[in-house]
Amino acid sequence: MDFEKKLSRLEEIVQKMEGGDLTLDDSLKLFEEGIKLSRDCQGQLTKAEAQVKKLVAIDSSGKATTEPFKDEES
Amino acid sequence: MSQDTSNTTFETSNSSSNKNRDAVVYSVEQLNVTIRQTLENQLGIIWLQAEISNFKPHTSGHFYFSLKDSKAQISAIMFRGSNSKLKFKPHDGLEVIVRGRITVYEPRGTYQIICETMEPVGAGALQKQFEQLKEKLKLEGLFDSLRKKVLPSFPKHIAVVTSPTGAAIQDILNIMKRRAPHVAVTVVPAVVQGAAAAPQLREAFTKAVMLQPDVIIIGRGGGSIEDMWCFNDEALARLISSCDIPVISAVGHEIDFTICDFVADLRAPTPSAAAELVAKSSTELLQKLNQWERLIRNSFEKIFRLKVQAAVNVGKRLIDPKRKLMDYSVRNDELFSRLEQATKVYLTHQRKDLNLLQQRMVSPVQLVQKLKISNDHLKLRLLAETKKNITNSHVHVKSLMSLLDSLSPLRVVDRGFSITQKNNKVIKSVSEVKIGDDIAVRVTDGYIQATVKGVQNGF
Repeated sequence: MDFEKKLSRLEEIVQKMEGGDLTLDDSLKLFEEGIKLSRDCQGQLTKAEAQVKKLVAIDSSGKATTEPFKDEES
Repeated sequence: MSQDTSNTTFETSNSSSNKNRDAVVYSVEQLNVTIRQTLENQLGIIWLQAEISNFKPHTSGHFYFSLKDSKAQISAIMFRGSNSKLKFKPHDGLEVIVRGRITVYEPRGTYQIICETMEPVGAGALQKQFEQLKEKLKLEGLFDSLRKKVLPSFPKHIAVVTSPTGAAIQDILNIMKRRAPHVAVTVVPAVVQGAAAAPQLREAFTKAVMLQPDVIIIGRGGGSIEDMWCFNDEALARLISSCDIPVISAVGHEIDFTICDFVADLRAPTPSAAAELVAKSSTELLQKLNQWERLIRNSFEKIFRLKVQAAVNVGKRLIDPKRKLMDYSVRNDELFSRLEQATKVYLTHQRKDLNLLQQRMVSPVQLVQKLKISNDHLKLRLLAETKKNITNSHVHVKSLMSLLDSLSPLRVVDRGFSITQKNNKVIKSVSEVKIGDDIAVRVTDGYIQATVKGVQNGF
């Protein structure tokens, strides 16, 4: 599931949980799913990937050639 | 006033020698006022190209300086209100074009130019070009706010069109690293100043669009207006305008405006600010996630509490059958006791009633006995009463007889008295008899027959 889908599912869960009229079983399942989704999303947001690349070339089909961006001043 | 007086005196004293009687004689004040009015009316607002010299910014904020060329000079003032709008610092030797009005400082009889706008020569032409292009694109609707695209709420990939060696990219990367490390950044290199810059920027921008990032940042760090001129390129502006990816323009400093800034979806005052704008949405997203997580936890806890409470409530209604049996047994005993008690009470009442009834009920034998007793009693009473009555009667009779005896006239006779009767009637008065009447006189032991011989009235 991509990030946007996770987010929208999470929002859906929040709304359902706030509705309140769930069985304990359902609410437990939603709770677990929601917390997992939230953690996934937060992980994705805070994971220090910092993929900084420099575009070298791009062909007519839009295929890009990149190289890691290095601080060229230092 | 004294000047006026002296003028008048002069006029008067010289009137004879002055042949031109029609000439107006001014006071200095009048003259200066007239000069001022003439200059202001004749020249009005003028444009003047000259070099600045003797530049003195006063503590009041006003600028005092001279404007000169090789042959002449004029005093100039630029008041604070006007000079605060300048985007450059005037200095001696700078060739400028000013727009202003000529005025006369009457107390000293000097004239000067009050500058309203000032542009460095050369920049003026660029500025004019800039204004014309801006107006043209504005009329075409390229700056319309309706055209502006909204930044995505969670960009994952951004492209930055700028110099890979400039300060701008460093600022942007620093902020992205710190605030939104999850966002991938592709640097699309371009020269950002000089004659080659505009076509390179266009090419780099086109490449950036082909990468299909979520946001494109185009910009550079601060510099002179000439340095940033490539961002006023019409073709670049049209590329940005037609691009369907949100574009943030971040050229120079806050005070610098370029065509790029107007046509982009968002203008950031600096490259750092552009990065902040992108990263801000990530921070917001993180906050939102935290908030959602809290909501889920709270909601779950609430549901859990409700269910537990419900279970407790139902549990309270469930009763152990043994206990129920005991309950029933106890209840049975209780009811039994109550029944017993009630029966006792009932019987007691009944017995009482029965006793009362028995008491009230008399047997015939008893009744007969009772009646017999009563009868005997009555008989006795009757006998007694009768006896008593007879006795009483005897007594009464005796007493009556005694009374009667005492009252009997015969008793009087016994004592010597006699009763005289005529035809068996007792004679009480002499008038009842006349001579010759036969009368009988009763004495104790019989009658004496007599005839009346005389009657004597009174004794």
